Amino acid sequence: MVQIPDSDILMAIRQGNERVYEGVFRKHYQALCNYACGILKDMDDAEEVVQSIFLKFWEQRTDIEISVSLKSYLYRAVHNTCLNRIKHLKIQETYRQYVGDYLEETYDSATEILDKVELENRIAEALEKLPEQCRLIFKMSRFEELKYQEIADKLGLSIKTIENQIGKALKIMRMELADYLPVIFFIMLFNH
Amino acid sequence: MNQDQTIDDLLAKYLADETDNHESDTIGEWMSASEDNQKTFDHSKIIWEGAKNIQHQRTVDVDAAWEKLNIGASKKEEVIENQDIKPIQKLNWVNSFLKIAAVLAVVFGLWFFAAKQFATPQNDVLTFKSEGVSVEKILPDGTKILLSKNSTITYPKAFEGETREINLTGEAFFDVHHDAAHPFIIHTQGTDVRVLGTSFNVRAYDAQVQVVVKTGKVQFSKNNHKVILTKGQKAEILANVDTIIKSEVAEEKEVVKEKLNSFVFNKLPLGEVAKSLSEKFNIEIVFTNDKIKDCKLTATFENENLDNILSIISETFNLTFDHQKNGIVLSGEGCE
Repeated sequence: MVQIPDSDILMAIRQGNERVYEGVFRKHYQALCNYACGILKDMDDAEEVVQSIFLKFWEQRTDIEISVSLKSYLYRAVHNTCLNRIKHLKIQETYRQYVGDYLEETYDSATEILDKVELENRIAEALEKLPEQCRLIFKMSRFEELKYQEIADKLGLSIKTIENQIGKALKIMRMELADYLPVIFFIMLFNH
Repeated sequence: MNQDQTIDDLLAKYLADETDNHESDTIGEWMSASEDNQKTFDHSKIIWEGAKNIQHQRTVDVDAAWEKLNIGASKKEEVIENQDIKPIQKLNWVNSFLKIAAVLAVVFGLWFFAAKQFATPQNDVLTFKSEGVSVEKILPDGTKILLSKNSTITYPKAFEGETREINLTGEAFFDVHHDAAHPFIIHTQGTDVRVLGTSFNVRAYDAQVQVVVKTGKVQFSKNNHKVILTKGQKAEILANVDTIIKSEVAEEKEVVKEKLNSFVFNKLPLGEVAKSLSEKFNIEIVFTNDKIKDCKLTATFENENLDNILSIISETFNLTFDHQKNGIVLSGEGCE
């Protein structure tokens, strides 16, 4: 596939080329929503934020100056908009704690953001590759934050089975990401 | 069960905070036993913590999202209801937009929601709806509205009482007929935009509503919260919150335009339009079909670049344009 330079894409967008803009939108929309969702914990809110950014970008296309890559710019915009949104919402303390990590990380650099996105995308892919029961149990533990005992009760399985399945999930995902994990770990060491 | 399997289970158990003291000690010892073990632990932790962030993700409908973004111009004309609706082209409102004193643009995203809600006209309340195309509407008081596609307004058959009130879902441009004795109020998604003076500009999209005042005075309110905005101020409100955030509009950076261009065309055949554009932009414009030359254009362009102008013309007359070596080629069926 031919890689069109960012500068050409930007030029076309500035000139009002909707097809080029649509291409950019389609290329990044899902991933940007995923990223926003990581911060906002809600996919509908995430979509709203990403759409507002694309709308604003289009409206201000002639004035926008981008010194980084287009991708970095978009993630940065999503990042900042999400944080503003969280700050503006008079949220309950619990929610604030929930997203607190992000509030403290306001100054993530663009590359840190992209690294995080890449990592999360890869984890999501690896998760989808798990055997079904293994994936279900892992999600119950990680997403719903159920205790092992609660998962065992819900599924009518022994607690030992739950231990095995989650251990297995972790192992499979670690192997799936074996090439990538050392890299991201190294990067994270540097960033923190 | 082999040793590795046990360690994996224990690792997960440790990360899930389910281990007892003895098990935690075992993990600690195992970790310090070798660098590889430490690495395995670090990597597992990255996965464990990273997974937390993906829990709310789902596959989004990119087509629907692009559609909703609606930056493209309306392509199909689908006009319904009232007979005095006339489909209008983008150009005409650009033209009238420049002339009007008070312009109010209200946009927000959840049009599907209220499209249903207001679908049935009630006593003395009229509903006006656009589908695939922007339509123009004049209210009983003389206020002009350009309703974007897939948008709805409801308004009384006659404005009686002290205020003129309407509901809006979707996007619309308002040219509010000036009448200081009867303030004009637009209700959108729990917020009210009230026209107090003459010249101002309101803009909102998605569940957020934003008001920016150019000149004059506007009152923006939600429930008991209200702000009065004057020149150079803006206010924002987020969905499901009552807090209105008011701020000064940053002085907009003056952008140096490549070239200032202004065109006014009044029922001018495209053949002639092409000549002026060719001259100004120093580029050849050719037609694949002579009938295109007969299409009559009424439009005003200010500081638009050539591609924008061509896009608008193409949309208007259902043409396509293409940059080729020898210039720009416009093709399509043309006009009778």
